[in-house]
Amino acid sequence: MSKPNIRNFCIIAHIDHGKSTLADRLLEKTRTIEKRNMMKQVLDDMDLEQERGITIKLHAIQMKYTAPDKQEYIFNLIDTPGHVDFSYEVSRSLAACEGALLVVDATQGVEAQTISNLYLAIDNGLEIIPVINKIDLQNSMVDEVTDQIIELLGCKKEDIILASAKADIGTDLILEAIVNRIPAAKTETEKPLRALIFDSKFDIYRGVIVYVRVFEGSIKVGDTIKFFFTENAFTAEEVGVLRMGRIKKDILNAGDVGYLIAGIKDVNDTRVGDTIFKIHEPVSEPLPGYKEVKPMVFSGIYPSSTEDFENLRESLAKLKLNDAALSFEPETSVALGFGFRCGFLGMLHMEIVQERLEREYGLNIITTVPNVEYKVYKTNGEVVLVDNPSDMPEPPKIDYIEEPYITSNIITPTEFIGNLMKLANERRGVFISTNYVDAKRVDLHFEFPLSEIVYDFYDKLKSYSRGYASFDYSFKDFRESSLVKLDILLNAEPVDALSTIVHKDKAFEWGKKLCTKLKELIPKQMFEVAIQAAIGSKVVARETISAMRKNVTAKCYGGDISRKRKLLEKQKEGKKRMKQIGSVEIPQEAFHAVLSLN
Amino acid sequence: MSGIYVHIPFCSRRCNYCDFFFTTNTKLTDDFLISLDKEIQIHSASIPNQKFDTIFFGGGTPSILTGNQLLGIINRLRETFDITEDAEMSLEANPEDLTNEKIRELYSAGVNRLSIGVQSFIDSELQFLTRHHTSSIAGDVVKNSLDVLDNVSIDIIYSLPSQRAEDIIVSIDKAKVMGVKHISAYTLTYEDKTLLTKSANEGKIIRNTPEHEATLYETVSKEIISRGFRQYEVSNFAIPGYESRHNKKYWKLLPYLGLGPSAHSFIGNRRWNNLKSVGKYCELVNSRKLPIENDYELNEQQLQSDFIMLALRAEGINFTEYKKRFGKSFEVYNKRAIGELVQNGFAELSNDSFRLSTKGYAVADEIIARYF
Repeated sequence: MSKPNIRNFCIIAHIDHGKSTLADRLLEKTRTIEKRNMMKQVLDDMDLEQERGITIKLHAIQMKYTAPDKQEYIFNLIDTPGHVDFSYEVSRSLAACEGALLVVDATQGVEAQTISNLYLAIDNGLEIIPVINKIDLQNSMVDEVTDQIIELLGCKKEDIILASAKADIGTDLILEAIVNRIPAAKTETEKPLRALIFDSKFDIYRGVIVYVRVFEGSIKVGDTIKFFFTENAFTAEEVGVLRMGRIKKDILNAGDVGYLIAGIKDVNDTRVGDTIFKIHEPVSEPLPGYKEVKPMVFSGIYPSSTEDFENLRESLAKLKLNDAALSFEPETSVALGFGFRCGFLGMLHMEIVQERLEREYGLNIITTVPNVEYKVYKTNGEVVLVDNPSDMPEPPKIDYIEEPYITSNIITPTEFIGNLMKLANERRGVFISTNYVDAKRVDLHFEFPLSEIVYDFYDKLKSYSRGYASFDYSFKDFRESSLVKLDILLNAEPVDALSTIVHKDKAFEWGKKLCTKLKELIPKQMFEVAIQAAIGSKVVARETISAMRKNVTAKCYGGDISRKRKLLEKQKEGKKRMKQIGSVEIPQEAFHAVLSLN
Repeated sequence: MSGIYVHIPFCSRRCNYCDFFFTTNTKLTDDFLISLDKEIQIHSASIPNQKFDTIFFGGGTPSILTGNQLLGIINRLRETFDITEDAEMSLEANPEDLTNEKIRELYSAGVNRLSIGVQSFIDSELQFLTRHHTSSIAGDVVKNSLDVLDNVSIDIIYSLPSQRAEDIIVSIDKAKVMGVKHISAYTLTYEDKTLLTKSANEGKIIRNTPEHEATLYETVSKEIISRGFRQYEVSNFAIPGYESRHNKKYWKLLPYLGLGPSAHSFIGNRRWNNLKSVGKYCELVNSRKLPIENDYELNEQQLQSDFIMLALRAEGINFTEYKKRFGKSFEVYNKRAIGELVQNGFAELSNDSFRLSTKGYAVADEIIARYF
C-alpha cells in the first residue's frame, strides 16, 4: 500500500479576516465541491454562525490536491472555533494538525485573538504559513502588516504569501505552500492505536459522531476501543473521512483525519482532547494536552411561564447532546420559580445557548445576570463552590472568598493605551506587561477577575478604542478577594434572582446604579414601589417608583367592545411576560438590569 | 330588552381629535338612507324575538339629517321591529345644527333625548378642538333644547394641554345651572391617525402628564358628583333617573342591533360589525347582503371577561346577576383581588356588589388587566 501524502492543517484568523472565503477557495480549487454547488462559506453551516460570522463548532474536510508535478496529496482542513470562549477546543483542533495558515486581513492587521491562537499553534509545534489576505482592497496596508507578521513570527518577508481569497489571488501559492512547507503527517501504522478526539456531534440516527485524528496505529470497523480519560469502551461501527458528507472507509490509518461511529449515546463520553486506543493494545500514555472543560460563567435560565419547565428541561438536554461544555441542573428561585442553573464556557457561549433556546426551541425564557463561580472558605473549615449568589453563606460564616482570575492580552493601537489602562483599572485589572507588536500597536498583558469581564467588558473595550482593540483571555487561578453579596428588595421583599456578588469597594455605587436602572425598567404599578439595595441588613441605596394614577380608556361606547377587549388582552399578555414578586410586577428585562449598567 | 344603534356616517367637516367613521361627502345621504332602509328590511327576518326599548342615533353627525329624514327611519324601525311605546330615542347633535325649528322637528319625529356635542363652554378650548360652534351658541342651544325636551345630555372633552381644573369647572357649572341632566366627560384621547396626534408627535402641542390627567380626572369627577350627578361609568354622570338606557346596554352585556356602516351589534353571544365604507355598504345592502365586516361568537370565557370589564367600568358587578349568568360566585373566585382593591381604596364592596371608586376608575384598565 502506497503511503499517502497527507497534510493536516487549519486556518488561524480573526473574525472577518477571510477564513471562510479562503476555505471556500481551497475547496473549489481542489474540486472538493463544484463552484456552482457552492453555498457561500460552506464551513459555517449553522444559522447562528452565519449571522454572527463566527464559526462556533468545528468541522473537518478532506480535499484531494494534484500538484503541478501530478503528485497527489490529501489535505485535511480542520476548522477551528473563532472565539475566546472556546480556546481549549481551538487548542485541540490545532493539536490535530501539523501546520496552520495564519491569515491576516491587510486592512486590519494582527489582532489579539490571532496572536493567542498563533501562540497555541506554536505551542503545538505547528508549521505556520503566514498569509496576508484582502491585498486587493484600496485601504490595504500590506507593508505594515508584513512588518507585524515578521515581528510576530520572526520569519522572512518572502515567507509571507500575499493573497485575496475573494479575488482568487495567491490561492495556488497557498496550495503549494501547504504541500512544501507543512510536514507530511507521520504514518506509524504499526504502533498501537492512539487517536485524538478533536470534536464530536450528536446525530439522531447514528448517535455520537466522533471526529478524530489518528496519530499512531489504525482503527477499523469491529475494533473494540476505549477512551483514555472517560474509560468507556465501545465497538467501532463505522469509520470514514469527511468530504462534503461522510465517506465510509474500511480503516483509518495513522495520519488520517476522519470520523468514528461507535454506538455512543452521549457526547459527554467523547471529551475533546481524549485519546482513543484499542482495548487489546493498551497504551501507557494518552496524547498530551487533555483538559476537562469546565464552565466559567453561570446563569439561571427560567421559563417565562411555569408550564414550560419540562419543555425547557428537554430543550436543554437536546442542546447538551451536541454541546458537552454546557452544564445544567435544576434550581429554584423565590422570584422566578423552577428553572435551571446553567454553566457556560463564557459569555458568547451563554448567548448562543439562550438564543438557540428561543429560536430553535421556541421557548420564552428569563435569564438571570451571569456570574462566575466563587470558592468560599467557611469559618468551620469547609470549602464550598458557589455558582449562584443566593447560595452565598451568611457573612459571619465566611472566612474568606476566592474568585477566578484570567490572564488576558489586549492588542491596541498605541493611542488608546491610556483609555484601556483606565478601563483595566475600573475592572480591577492587574497590569503585567506591555509588548510592542510594531511601532503603532501594542500588546497589553493584564490579569483580571473573570467577573469583571463577564458584563459588557468587550463592548467597553471596543468603545474605549473606537473599535480597534482586540482581546483574548484564558483562565489563570483563584485569588482571595474582598467580595460581598448585594441584595435587591422590592417593597421590602428580597428578589433572589437579582442578587449579585460584587467587590466591596464597588458595592455602594453598584447598588445605586442598579436601583436607578430598575426604576427605569419597572413600570409604574397601582402601588408605590420601593427599590432597595442592601448588603446584609444594611440598605445602601434606594429609589421609589410612584404609583400609577391614570390608565383607563375614556370612551367605551358605540358598542365597539371587541377593540377594547383586544387592547385588554394585549395588556394581559404583557403582564403574563412579567414576574410577580410580592405585589410587584417585574418585566423580564429587569433581570438583566445589571448587564446594562454603565 | 334590546337596543338599536343607527350610525349616520356624515359630518360637514372633521374635528382634529375624532377617529369615528364618517365621510364629509354628504351627497351620498340619499343613497345611504335608501340602503339603510334596505338593511332594516334584511334584518326583519334575521332578528326574531327581540323587543327593543332604545334607539340611539350616533355618528358622524345625526343632526345633519332633516326631521323628515329621521322620521322616515324611525317609522321604518317601528314598522319592522317590536319597539316599546316609551322607548328612549337618543340623538347625537352638533350645536350648530340645532336651530329651534330643528329641535322641534326632531322632537316631533320621536327623539326624546338629545346628546349635544358641546365639548366646552370656553371659546379658546373650542378653537383648540377645531369645533365649529362658539360657547354662546352652545349655551343657547342647550337652553332651547331643554325648553322642548327634558332629557338633555352634553359631551365635555377635557384635559386639553395645560388646562386647569378651574377651566373645566366653568363648563360643568354652566351645564348644571341650565339644568342639563347628563354629562359625558371624556379626557382628550390621542387616537391614531388624527391631526391632534400628529401635532402632538410633532411637538406642536404638549400632552398632559398622566399625573396631571389623573388629578384633573379626580377633580372633575368629584365636582360633577358634588352637583347632584351620579357617576355610573368611567366618563358618564347623570342626575338619578337620567342615565342613558341605551349606553347601559353596552355596559351590561345586553343585546343591541347596529345599523349603518361601522355599526356594532351584539345579539345572542354573537358580536359583529358592519364595514366602514358608505359605498360598499350601499353596494352590499342593495344586493340584499348584510354589510358585515367581522362576525364572531363569544365563548363562555370571553363573555365572562367582557361582562367583568364592562361592569367594572360602569356600576360594578352584582353578585346575584353574575351567578345567574355564569353559574359561579364572582366574590368567591376573586376574593384576593377584591380584598386588595378595597383595602387600597380602588373599589367598594357592598353586600351584593363590587364596584370601582373614582380612584379605581382612573386605573380601570390596569385593574382589569392585572386582576381579572
